[in-house]
Amino acid sequence: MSYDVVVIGAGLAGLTAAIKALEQGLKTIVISRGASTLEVMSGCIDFYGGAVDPWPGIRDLARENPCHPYALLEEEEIYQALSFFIQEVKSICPYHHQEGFQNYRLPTALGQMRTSCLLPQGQVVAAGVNERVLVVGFKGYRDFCSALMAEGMNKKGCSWRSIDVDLKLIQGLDNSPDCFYQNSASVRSYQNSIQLAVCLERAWPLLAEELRPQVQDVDKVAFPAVLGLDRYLELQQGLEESLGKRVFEVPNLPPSLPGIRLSKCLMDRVRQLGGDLLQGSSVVAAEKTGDICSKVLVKTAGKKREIQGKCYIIATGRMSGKWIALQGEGVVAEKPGLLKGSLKEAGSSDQQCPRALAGAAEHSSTGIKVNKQLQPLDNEGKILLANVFCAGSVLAGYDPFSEGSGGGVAIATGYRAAVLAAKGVKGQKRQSNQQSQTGCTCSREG
Amino acid sequence: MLWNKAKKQAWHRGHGTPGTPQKHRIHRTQVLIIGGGATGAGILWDLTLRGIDAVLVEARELAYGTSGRCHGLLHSGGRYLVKDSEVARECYDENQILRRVAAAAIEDTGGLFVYLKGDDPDYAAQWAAAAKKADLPYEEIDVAEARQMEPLLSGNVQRAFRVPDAAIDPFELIVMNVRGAVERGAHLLTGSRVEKLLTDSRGVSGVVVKDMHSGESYSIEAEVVVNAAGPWAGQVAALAGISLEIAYGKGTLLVYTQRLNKCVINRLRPPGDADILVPAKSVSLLGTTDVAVQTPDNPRPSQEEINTLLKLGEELVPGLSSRRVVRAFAGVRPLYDPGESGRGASRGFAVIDHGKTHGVANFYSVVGGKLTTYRLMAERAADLVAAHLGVSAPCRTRDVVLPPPLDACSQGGDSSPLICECEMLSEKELLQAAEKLQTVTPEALVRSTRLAHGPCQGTSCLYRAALLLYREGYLSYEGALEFLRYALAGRWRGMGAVLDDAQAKQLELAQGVYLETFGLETLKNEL
Repeated sequence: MSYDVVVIGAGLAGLTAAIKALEQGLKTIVISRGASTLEVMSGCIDFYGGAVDPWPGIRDLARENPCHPYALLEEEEIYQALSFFIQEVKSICPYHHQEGFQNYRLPTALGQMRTSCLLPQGQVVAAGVNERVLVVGFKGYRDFCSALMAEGMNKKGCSWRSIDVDLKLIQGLDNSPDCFYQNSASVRSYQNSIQLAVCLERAWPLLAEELRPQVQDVDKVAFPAVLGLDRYLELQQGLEESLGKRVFEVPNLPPSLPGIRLSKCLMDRVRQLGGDLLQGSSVVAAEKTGDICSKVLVKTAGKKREIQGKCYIIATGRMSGKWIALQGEGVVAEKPGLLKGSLKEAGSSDQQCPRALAGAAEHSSTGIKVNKQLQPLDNEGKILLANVFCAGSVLAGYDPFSEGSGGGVAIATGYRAAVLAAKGVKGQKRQSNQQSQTGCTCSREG
Repeated sequence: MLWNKAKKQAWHRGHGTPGTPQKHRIHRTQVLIIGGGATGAGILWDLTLRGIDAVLVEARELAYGTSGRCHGLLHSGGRYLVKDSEVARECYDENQILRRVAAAAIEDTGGLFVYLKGDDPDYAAQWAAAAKKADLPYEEIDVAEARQMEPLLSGNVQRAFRVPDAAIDPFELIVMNVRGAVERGAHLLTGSRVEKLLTDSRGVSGVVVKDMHSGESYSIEAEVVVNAAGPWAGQVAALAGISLEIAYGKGTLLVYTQRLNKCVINRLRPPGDADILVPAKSVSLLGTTDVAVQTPDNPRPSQEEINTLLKLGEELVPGLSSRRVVRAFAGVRPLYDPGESGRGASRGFAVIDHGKTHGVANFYSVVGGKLTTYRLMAERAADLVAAHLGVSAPCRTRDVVLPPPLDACSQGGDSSPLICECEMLSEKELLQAAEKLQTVTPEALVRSTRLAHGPCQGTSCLYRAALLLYREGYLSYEGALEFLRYALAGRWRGMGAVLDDAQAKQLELAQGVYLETFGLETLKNEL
């Protein structure tokens, strides 16, 4: 199989890159091992955490650390990438942003505040003034405690109330075959968010009826992020109309519905644009000629296949993507052996204490070193592979957790990788066109 | 009393609300024991059985120190056979006694000593001869039989001996001792640090204790004070102006994600690194190292130790270096052996009557020793204390069976939702455990249940546990957040030491969830 662009990894960076590549008319495939980290995260896209205005922080990061992915990008490009992303997901999974991509501040399930830049439809209502809110929990649902969230917010001067709805009391609900309660009674550990979400897709009108008398004195109503799996827009709208109040979701433990919705939306978009998705597959080896990666060997259940690309985009994430692995002796390894020498290694001496939680974590900034063209570099700073571009958290030089920069870097570098890949492919095409004038076969036209 | 009527109370770590009424504050006792490890708990139980009024004072939580950071091996004595047959005999005798009186904390796994090709054959021969001479029931078995018992064993095993090793849960053991004593009228004060020893003309007359929850200090009069502070015994003795030389040997252990062996596997060679693989409930522990350290506080596994363990462990059980390790932890052995340190130091113990040795009467220290002989150490200490008090009642801890650590859960009938899928811990079990604690701290809960012990190291269950404990009134809002921060920091620290593939991925996920989705402030100070 032969493609213009082979994207490895189906997280936020990989899917953004694939969509941008497809929009530029490139024949694209996305290879992924399995569900990406997108599906366990909150669905909010963080850009730079902490301050309301993220831009000074981003400039500081870029200035202080020339290896930081933000230092490789122009602000203009970051804007473009974010706008592109919002445009692409608009119809299926709408995202919101503030003027100049300023941060929203929103409450978390622990009653703490956090910042985020792009918010999905279900969470955007949570931003802003939240003086009087009713938090709704569900009895028997382990992953959310409405009273705890409300108390946390009240300590910040708000006036929140909490209520726990007993789904069993909602008439008719326990007769449905896929009901939350029936399942939980038989298999007690299966009370997860997805089941509850699917259950509510059917039962939400009953829930609204139960809640209507409770919402008179509040401005907004909050729920854990379980308001529907596929029909969530309909659910939110329905609840808002029925209750006469704005409604928002609060993300919590994985599996995360907002993350799953975004992941599905982006994958659907790839398919819609004619891209191929090869899931359950991992790249196990690669071949290169000079500084050009010529093909990758992909292992899918039961068989291996070769996939050729003119360009490759590596967007495998860090540890989660299994592309980069930490080995016993504190050595960072890269599985397919494609990028030997390009990995910034974690200082093994510091490994005994991962300051991953806060400060400059060695591990958290482990990754692939690249140049401004996002091409991997070796230790001497030479380009290792000219037709490979790296995007997202596989990149070295930043710590998505302490900086709150994971989503922003993923979208901006994914977008840029696709733009660069398109240039590369066109360059190769020009060459092959010249060859075709001398009798060679024509390459696929954009 | 404290045990059965533990009141639901918020957890205030170090900064409790002033004015919290102090319940059950004790001002006078016959014997005050410092240190809530196995030794201190054992002394409390022993004295109580003799009818002596006793209080156990622990600065943090039961089993916080060495007792809670070991591999939980009930020695058969084999490890000490060549070097010190007396210690070996002691271990064997205690092993037999504990199987009777503390059966609820013990799993009779049995053990193997295996000689690997390339190890010193003379040592193996010496060992076999010493075993015969000591008349301990160690039996040489066919290598094929050993491999049948433990299929993962190395192909280089050339001799194998069956020994009566067992796995013992140190936390449960301590809780059983304390519970037995408290049910008979003794008192336990956790979160209470001894700041000062009081003295009068006759010697030590009590202590000043600081309540770590409220920050208040108060004094407790005692006829006798026993220092069983393990690695901190030197610090306690210093309060009386006594210099007690304790050497600290740090030992690191690795926890595997699953149980790999049925019985304890010992490598038959002079004591060294990574010579034992102990099954512990649903996991296996590979240990240990021995590194001299300067302080007993906050021992951390080093990368070097972990590498050594993995490398040598591989020799004993091939594949051990590539199996999934969920975490690493380290404990500090308090070694009391003026003159020697490290592995050369005696694993024996001493009970010091400071009245005789230092002219400070009514004050005793119990130093050195090991988990397996904790009861004997307690017996010896209690003998001296009882004689001092003029109490003639004999030691009964050889015969009186300890109560179980927790009341049996409604086995099978517990249909409450699971809090932790890794370790199959239900809401009901967690609440029962919380009910038994004086104050709900992460350390105590994590040790008394298997909360956060599985492969995900608390990513899901700590959050759920915090919500549940808040909902049920065991934790305040701040308490729930502190609980989460503190427990997560502990787990992440343990995972961080062994960041291979799977755990690195797990840690990444956990950080994403807690630092991003939940916006939990940094845990920097805890690390």
